[in-house]
Amino acid sequence: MDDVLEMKGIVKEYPGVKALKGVDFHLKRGEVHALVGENGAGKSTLMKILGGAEARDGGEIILEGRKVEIQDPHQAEKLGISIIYQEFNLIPFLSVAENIFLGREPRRGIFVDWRQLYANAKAVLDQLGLDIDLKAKVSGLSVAQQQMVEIAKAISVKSRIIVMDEPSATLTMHELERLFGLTRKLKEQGVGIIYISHRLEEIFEIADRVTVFRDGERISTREVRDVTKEYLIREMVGRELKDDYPKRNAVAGQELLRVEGLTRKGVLHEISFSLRKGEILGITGLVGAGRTELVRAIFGADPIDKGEIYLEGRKLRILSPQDAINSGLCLMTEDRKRQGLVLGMTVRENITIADLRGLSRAGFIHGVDERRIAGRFVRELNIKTPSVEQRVRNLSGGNQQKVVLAKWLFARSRVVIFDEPTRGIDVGAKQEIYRLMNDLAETGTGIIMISSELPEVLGMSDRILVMQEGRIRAELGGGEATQETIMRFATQALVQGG
Amino acid sequence: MDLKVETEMEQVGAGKPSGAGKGRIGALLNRLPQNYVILLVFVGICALFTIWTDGLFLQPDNIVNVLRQISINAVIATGLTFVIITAGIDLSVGSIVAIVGVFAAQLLVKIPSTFPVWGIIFLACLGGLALGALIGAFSGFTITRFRVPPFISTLAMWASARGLAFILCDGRPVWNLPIQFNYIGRGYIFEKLIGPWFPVPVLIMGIVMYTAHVILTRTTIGRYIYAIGGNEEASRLSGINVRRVKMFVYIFSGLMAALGGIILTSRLASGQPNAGQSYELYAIAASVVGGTSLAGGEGTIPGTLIGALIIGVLYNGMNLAGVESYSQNVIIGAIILGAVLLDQMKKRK
Amino acid sequence: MKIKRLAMVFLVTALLLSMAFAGNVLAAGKVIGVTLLTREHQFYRDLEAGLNSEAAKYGYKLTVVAGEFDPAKQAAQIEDFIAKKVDAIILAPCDSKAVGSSVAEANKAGIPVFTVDIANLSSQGKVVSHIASDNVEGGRQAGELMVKALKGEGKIVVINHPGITSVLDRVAGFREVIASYPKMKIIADVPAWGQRDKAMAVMEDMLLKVPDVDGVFGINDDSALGAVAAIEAAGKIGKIFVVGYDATPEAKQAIKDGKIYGDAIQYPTRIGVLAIQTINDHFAGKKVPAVVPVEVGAWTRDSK
Repeated sequence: MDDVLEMKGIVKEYPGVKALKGVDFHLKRGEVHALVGENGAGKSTLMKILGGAEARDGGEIILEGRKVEIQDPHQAEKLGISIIYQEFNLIPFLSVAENIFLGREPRRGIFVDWRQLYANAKAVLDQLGLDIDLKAKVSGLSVAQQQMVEIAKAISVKSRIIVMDEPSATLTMHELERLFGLTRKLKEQGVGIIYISHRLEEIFEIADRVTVFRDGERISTREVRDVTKEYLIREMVGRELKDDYPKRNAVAGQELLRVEGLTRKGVLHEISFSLRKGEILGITGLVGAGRTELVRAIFGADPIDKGEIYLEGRKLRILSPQDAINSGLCLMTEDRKRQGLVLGMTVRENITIADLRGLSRAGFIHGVDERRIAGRFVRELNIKTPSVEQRVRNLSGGNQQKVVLAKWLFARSRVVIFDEPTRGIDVGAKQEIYRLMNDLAETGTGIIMISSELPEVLGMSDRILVMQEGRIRAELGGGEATQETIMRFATQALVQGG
Repeated sequence: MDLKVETEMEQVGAGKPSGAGKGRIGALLNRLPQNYVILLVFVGICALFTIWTDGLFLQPDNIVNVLRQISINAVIATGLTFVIITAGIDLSVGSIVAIVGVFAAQLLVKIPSTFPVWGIIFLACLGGLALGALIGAFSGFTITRFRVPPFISTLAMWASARGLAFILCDGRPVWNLPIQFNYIGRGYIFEKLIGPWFPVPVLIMGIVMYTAHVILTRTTIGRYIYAIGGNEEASRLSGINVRRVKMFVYIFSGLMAALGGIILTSRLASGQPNAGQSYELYAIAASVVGGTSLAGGEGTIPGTLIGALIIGVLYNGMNLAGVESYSQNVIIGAIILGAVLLDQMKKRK
Repeated sequence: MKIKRLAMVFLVTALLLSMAFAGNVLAAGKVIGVTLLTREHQFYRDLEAGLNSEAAKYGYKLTVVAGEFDPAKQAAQIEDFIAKKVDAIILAPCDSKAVGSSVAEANKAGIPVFTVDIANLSSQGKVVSHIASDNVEGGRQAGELMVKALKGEGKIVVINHPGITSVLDRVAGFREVIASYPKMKIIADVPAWGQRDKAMAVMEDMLLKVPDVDGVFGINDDSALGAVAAIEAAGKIGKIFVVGYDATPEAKQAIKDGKIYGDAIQYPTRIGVLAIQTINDHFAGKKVPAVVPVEVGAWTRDSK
């Protein structure tokens, strides 16, 4: 019996959607098994069923030859199944050690045995070769470190199966290497690892086998060494994808937006740049360089200490997002669930929220028009949803992102700011987003795109700003930019300092 | 991919009115299943009391009686529902009932009788409503400007407004109100035509709740109320003036409490500084039993109406059935918990 | 010269005035701490007025607070009085039983305790004297009024406030009288917690449950007036007779208007006056009775 896990004929239905149509899945002991597929293909749903977060409507789960029922996450944990979600389940104000053993603290009488707790936590971290301060508060850790803590937590409960859902999305190159190192170590210890990622390169580096999902079905399971990237993409989208980045036709026009001397004490320093009509301006840099802070300041989401913003030469007075939106600016935030969408509301309500006034007379919303417009956007942006009345919560990540985009298109934005537009989005949807960006630019919209993925920045931008420590370090034309030059500017001070 | 949404937008003005009507009925039907569990609970309770009281409960007289009795709570709960949908809370409503009752009664007594009596009544009601709105505005102001948690801000108002009510009348009930004022709380619509079947407070409740329902479901501010409760940060980043919407809900809640206070004063024919005690809890209960989520983002006015009905029917039915007083409170508590649990179980599925 | 004389006059006046004040302060050396059940009800406001006017006569200084139905709050207030070393404590307990331990503490500190209106029913603590109207007698008065109103025959509803000693006494007295008339029957005893809005609601329910009810006894005037509001709304004034308790100004008006038949009347002001007089006697070293009963009466349309 080589399989640690067998899932047979798993079925899951949501109102109006059949998310899983009888899926089989096998996981071997000590293998890294990658799951790929477009958003909504069913891989996340399958993992939620495995983790006890969702109830299945059919099929069975066999763990080490024994049929099991998994009713809730707690039971999954007991059975040795750990899922590390993109949003971590850590308590920010507790220490690393406390988080690792949360709810399972060693006790002496009714008191926590702190010595034992730290000793146990240290043992776990040592086992993984991690160097993290046990007593540090989780809130002070980097995203990568928090992820390590999650993995340590999984190890501490002696998990036999660890599911990593998009573990690399927020990691830097260096951090990713460490994650891979850790993953290999887990593998050696016989843990079965399910690895979900949209970055196909990673799969070739770390995974042993790969299973492709499409439209709620398992399309194929292959040894990674037998397949190519092109093959996987074809399997995922069910068709050939040509260019990674679509051709640009837009020609940059007159100046649209100009930012002068924008300063927010301790965060942004004297930032000046301009954006032309139909231009895609890429902003890149390492995490913490102040990119998100910059666009939030422009958008009025955070206060600024100094600086001016002009739209077509006219000075804008932006004190709140409302002012920015009225001036024709919009921000597609990085964290769409917390900042972009009202998850409990419908697709329709989310699409129209930013310009409801355009749809209403004397405060009354014109319901028929609203439904029609929402329906139009759903069709044109190819948002996969049973109806415009579906709650956004039930949509996949890529479709949620499209709803956010629809919201800003409906608000007739003239400057669209994308903050990590393709994070956590699959290949097919990515291409759609790129195409939409190009279409937007062709209508004369100015686009600012923040991205950490250098190929994306290079492939999409007309010009690139490189930020570092709240300053613009370089402005590169499309022709002169390479991954190397960007990295040189992005790490400038670090290189000089080191 | 066609992005010329602007042109599309300009054409939408010519929507078909017939379609709108159809959509409204459709929307209403859509709302129904959301509340159906609680509706079943309500029907069940009614059936139980009908059997228990040998049909007395279902007598038309008693139905009118129950509707009249719940009207004040339903009006207050309507205001509170708005607040709770934004993930806020307003604990001051019971005290607003008292202070507005006293204030309006004093206006009735003190405005010189050279004015025509209906003028006096109009002014007194206006004054009372204004006072309620003002108190709500004050709570809203401290909540939006100084980020005082709504629970604390309105708890402070709960204490202060009650104290002010006593100070205002020196602790003595204000009475000897003009007899015409009684019409608001005790009168009947078309009494000469159809007899005493349509109490004025029930009409007020109907108008208020229908209006509130329309505001919540069909206007921009209603949509914003849900949006803010669902995700305040995303709402702000979508250009919603969160402060203004929150101010609106607290003012609205104050206004509804004031209306409740005026009806109560008219019903009792006296402005009582100790009136309206624990009304905030009844209103919260009505709202929550009716499916409003204290976490925000969810809730409907029809739900709140059913919630108010359940609580009103329980008290009335137990009085009719002769349930002894200590048990009454125990049963009420159990039913509130049970109703919400049922609703939660339905949502899980 | 003139200025000098003027200055002298001022000086002398000032001296005299300060002496007068000093004398008063000496006389008013005694401080009495008062904690009432509530200061919100008319009854206690009148009682407080009686205390104040009588205390002014003897030059006692009163500190008046109220537990507002919260026994814990009242216990804290008594602790404060003990800490301030008041000379006597007047107490209207929020809870007849729970108050005992606080009284015992005051005893330990050597502070004499007097209760008004509501007695200390706990086995703990010693009260010098209890000054209260005779609630059983008041209940009897109400019962007699009801007998007169219904001419000895009819169905009666009691609007009750369960859990309060004085109310229990009232209802006991009332029932005692009614029991001696075989044709009179108490058919329902419903709670309204002494609040007018709740009394109105239960009365509305009662009007439906027993449409042929003849009489209603409200254990206080808020209960009675709440019942009146419901009866009036139902257009049954004159068909149903209401008897109340306390005869507050509003109730007196209702009696005058024929909406309430009559009230048992306590004399809260008198309770206050007698309480201070009892304390004065106690200070003077006289022996005071353990219970000082305060007369009750009946108030009807014919009363002045």
